[in-house]
Amino acid sequence: MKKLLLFCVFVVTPAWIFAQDPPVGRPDMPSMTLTGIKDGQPLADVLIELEKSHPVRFFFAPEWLEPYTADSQYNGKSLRYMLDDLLRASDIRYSYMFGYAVIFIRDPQRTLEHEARVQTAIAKKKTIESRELGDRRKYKPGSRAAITGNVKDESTRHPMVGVIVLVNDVETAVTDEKGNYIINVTTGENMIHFKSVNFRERVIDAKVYSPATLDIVLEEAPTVLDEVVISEQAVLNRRISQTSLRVTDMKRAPTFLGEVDLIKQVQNQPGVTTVGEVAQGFNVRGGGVDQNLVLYDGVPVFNTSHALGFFTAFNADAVSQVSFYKGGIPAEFGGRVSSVLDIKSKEGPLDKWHGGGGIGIMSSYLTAGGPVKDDTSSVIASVRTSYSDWVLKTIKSNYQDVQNASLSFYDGSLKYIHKLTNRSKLTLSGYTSYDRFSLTNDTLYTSRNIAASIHYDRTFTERLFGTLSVSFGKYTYGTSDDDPTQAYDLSYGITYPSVKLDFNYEGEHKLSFGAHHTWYDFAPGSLKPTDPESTVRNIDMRPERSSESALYFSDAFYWREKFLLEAGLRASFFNRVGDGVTYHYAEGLPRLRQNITDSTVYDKGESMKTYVGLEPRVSLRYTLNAFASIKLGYNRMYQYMHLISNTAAVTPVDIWQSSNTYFKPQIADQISLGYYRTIQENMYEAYVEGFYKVTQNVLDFRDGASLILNKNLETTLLPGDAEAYGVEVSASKIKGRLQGSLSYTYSRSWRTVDGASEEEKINDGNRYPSNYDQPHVVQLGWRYGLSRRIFFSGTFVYHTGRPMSLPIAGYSVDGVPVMTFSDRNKYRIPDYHRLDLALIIEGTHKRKKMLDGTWVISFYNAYGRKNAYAVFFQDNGKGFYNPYKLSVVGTIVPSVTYSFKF
Amino acid sequence: MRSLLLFFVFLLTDACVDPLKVPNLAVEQGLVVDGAITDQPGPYTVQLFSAQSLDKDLDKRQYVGGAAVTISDDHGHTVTLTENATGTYQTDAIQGVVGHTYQLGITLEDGRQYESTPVLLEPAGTVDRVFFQFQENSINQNDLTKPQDAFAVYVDATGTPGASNLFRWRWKGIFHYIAFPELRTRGVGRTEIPDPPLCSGWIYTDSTGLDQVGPCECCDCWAPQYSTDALVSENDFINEMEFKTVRVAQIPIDKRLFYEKYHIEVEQMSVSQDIYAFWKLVKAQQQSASDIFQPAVVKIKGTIRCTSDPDEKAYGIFSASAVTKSSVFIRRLDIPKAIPQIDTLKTDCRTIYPGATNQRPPFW
Repeated sequence: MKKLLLFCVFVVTPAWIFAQDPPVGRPDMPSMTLTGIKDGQPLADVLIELEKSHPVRFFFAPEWLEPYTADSQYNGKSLRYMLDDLLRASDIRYSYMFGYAVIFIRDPQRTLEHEARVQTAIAKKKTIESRELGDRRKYKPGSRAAITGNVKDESTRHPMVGVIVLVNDVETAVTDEKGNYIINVTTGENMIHFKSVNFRERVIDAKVYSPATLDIVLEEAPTVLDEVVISEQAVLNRRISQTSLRVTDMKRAPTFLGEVDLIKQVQNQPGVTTVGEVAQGFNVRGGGVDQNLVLYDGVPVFNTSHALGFFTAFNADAVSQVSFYKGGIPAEFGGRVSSVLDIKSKEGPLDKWHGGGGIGIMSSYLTAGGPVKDDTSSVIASVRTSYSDWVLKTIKSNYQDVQNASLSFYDGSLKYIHKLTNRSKLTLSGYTSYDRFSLTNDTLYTSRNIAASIHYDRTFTERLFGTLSVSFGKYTYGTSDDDPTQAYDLSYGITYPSVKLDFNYEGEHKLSFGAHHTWYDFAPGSLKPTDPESTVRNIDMRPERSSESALYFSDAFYWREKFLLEAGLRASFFNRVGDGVTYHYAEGLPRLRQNITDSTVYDKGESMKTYVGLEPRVSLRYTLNAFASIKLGYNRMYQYMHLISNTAAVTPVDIWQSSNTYFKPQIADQISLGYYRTIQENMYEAYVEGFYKVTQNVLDFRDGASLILNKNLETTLLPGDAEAYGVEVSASKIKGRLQGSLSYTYSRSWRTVDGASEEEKINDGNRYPSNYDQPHVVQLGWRYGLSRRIFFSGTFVYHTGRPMSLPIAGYSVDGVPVMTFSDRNKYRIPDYHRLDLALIIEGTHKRKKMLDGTWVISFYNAYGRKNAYAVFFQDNGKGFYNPYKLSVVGTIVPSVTYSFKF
Repeated sequence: MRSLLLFFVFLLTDACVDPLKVPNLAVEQGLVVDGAITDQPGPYTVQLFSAQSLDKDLDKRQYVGGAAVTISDDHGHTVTLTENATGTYQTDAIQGVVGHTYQLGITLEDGRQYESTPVLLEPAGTVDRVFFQFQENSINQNDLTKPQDAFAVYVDATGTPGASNLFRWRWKGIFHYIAFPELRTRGVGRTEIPDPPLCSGWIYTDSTGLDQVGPCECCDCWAPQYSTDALVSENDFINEMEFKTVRVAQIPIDKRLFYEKYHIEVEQMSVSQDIYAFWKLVKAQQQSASDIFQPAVVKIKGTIRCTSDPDEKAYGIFSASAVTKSSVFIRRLDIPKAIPQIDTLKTDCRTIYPGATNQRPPFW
């Protein structure tokens, strides 16, 4: 049958075989741009016209194409686009052969199968190479042809025995002692795989015309733990304001003290800034550090760093996938108003055990994973720990604080997956991080994160998938002091168990919907004297409970082919639950302690305050052509948790506070619009994206606010509005030996706090720059492959110094010096810029080696700039305080890290 | 390797801390008022001066003279202060009364008018106890050249029922030290010859050499120290009116301060809400200034405002306080470890510390 049909094809245009010899180097015909198509013109006519004007031949039976007409919308599009578009739902397929012929085939079986194989291979992240085998002029469709060849080891050049050769997924041959093989295939399109243990599989998409030889060399596979590199989704097709971070990119970037840092990679994204090195978290499009939702396997993580912000609390070796959204945020995410950083951890390999590790100046890590039961369940564990305090102890200093300082941290993760049936899977994931830091002998800070979850995934039908997740999260910190006279223990904690149910439906409309519920239990702090001599008072803050739930629905579909519209709605419900006390303040007077008139006491379980938020989310993509698209995003987000801080960065002792009568939810509306295009066959991509964002009910602190263990936090914080806008311009080269990107962002971030009374205004109610208003940001990153395993990479970052307030005059009252401050954030610290360089030497891909090692030699802050981190004031000896800048890293910081895989 | 790791001394190395130069920093001008009335006998002083740029010397005030300054109360009395020295205005026959409300009025020579917010003079409560505790390695941690040990001085205090019990504490210390002025020398050509000041009781002539002619007038001195920290009660955390173990001072263990003993007198002053808020902000400013995690953004508004021009800046306070005092001696013997003997100060002891005197205090 197949033969007959093909024969039929060729009979229709009998001159096929002696058509002109295709010239060498001819452009890819299906990509040719169409012109002159009239509305309603039959497809067959269009093709015949094309034959006249282009060196191309079409082979088809006219009646097959009869039902199809083209119209003028295809002008400017490629031939492939038109054919794919028109024939999408039909049983007609076409293939492109000989460099000039487009052959239409009615029996789609083989073509469909071939396409399916290609799709599978792509889905498995395999590289597919296209080859033409044999002599085109001897092509006899449907005939059999023998392919012979030899397989060699790329590095040793020895013939390889036992290499499995699969043709169209059927094992057909195995190489002999001399590495030779012979296979018989049907001419036409064939997928040929060459597989051998420990070697990278090669997949050849072969167009076989006649008997031929095909010699192959196989390259040793780096035995990575199933590190899923995010598929290189073209800039055209991603959602607006979305980025995927690749773990390999992180590992090939310069490091600070040798620690591969996920958050620092986030900070290098356009639109993202940070206030400095010892800054936990990051600021997205003028938002606060508390406005980022950081999820680890779906569980929010409150503290994302180690050692006061020097390092990220996530071990890059345990991470498989990182998605970052700064706008157009999908409806499934909620609870923070600025961005979502969605981190997925690695799954253990199902076939065999692998491991890896690394040794750096600060810490070492080890990862191991493998099957528990072949093809059914796997486990992976990863642990990273800092060394004892030897780094600090080796330093000679006049500063006792440094001599007595100690610092240590660790983090670990564990993941177990179990395929229950073909249609269901169970995943258990656990993560913890711990920090311990002391500046003097006596004072000790500790903090800990826990994120644990169980996911049950089920496929209901071919198109409907569902996941039930139950998770537990906890964030605690404490500080204590041993000195008898002031011995104390201060502790703080948030516990947040949660249940989530999510569904996805894949069809013409891609639907997602679900329900989330999270309970929050805040232990806002207790201060306990720990020594009978201690002069510290016992303070116990009342625990606070609240719950946050959400229902969401989202639909993504193509509209008139060119528009991809994703529209969703999230409804969030917040409930502050007793027990608790709400203080009432005198009407018309500033909200200060002395103006408390009354209080209402709520019993356990009683609802104290509820809020409901409707959060529309829209993301729209308009495809201009194969190289360009325009995207638009709008989202409204509600945030019911507030970071109570009077600093720009997150500090170890910051307080999270849930919404209540006085702290209304933050509500952000963001609109973003961008133009994206690829250049030179996806060699380059570039985009311009603008955004405008307003946020209501952001909190800023009243002057001199004392935040820790304050039972009336509403007296120290003032609600206001935030406004941010900006333009991000980025250009990247994503292929080739030299890869990199350059971006520039202009953005502003403003606050306005204009309360009723003079004491409830900041800067007299006028708008002022927020703490992280950094108008100009330039980011440059590159990686140059000196060879296949040696890379020279670097990053450069420049941003305007962040705003600060300065004392501008002074006087004394009763012998006590007093300083007068400028308006809030009127001045700026000096501009920040830094260059980091790294040389990465990856292991040779030798087969017999036990370990595959990689060296990373990094130079952080290569030209040793003393970037100001903080401004503080020192007595100038005349009673006044003068400003000094503190540079956390004031010099070049070299480091060497060795990592390995087995 | 060690040098490579130095960067990690992130917080406190000299290398990482540099003065911050801010171009075009505009100094904010304005009148500063430093004045108070108490329930103790007067006279009371009100000083008027200008705010200064921060690179100037705090102690060198630019006084504002020629103003008309009045204090009035809510019982219809008004007194006019007299200008004793430029910018320093004093009361004569007035004493603060608990329960009265006082207000300051100022008219400058150029006609600008200022007033303070009215302040209620509240009762002072009682100081139950002043006590101290030796604390090793508690001060100057970042400068090993300075004393590391100190005495922490505490008070226990009680408020007055029915009063708001907002308090400010300040202290005055006095210590006795000795000098050896007779050992003073001066250079003549290449040699040093004795040059005792007259007050040493010794004279030197080329012919007779050193001779004692009388008692030393400047060998034993008593010097005062004053608190420079803003310290107010923490009424937020405390139940009712008990203030236990409030640390009011840290006296460094210094060989001169503890040559013999150290006397510390603590004053507990009641303050009104506005004045309390002012001192609390000053305290927050002082605490945050040296803390790298806390921004020192503490904009302090005083209780003075310009009535003739609302845009005109004015700073400072006029406070009304009731005062109660208590004091204690800290002796050299209270130091539980050996400290060095006093160094040999070869000069008139009165010139060593500001305010030093050779008059033994009556309670010494």
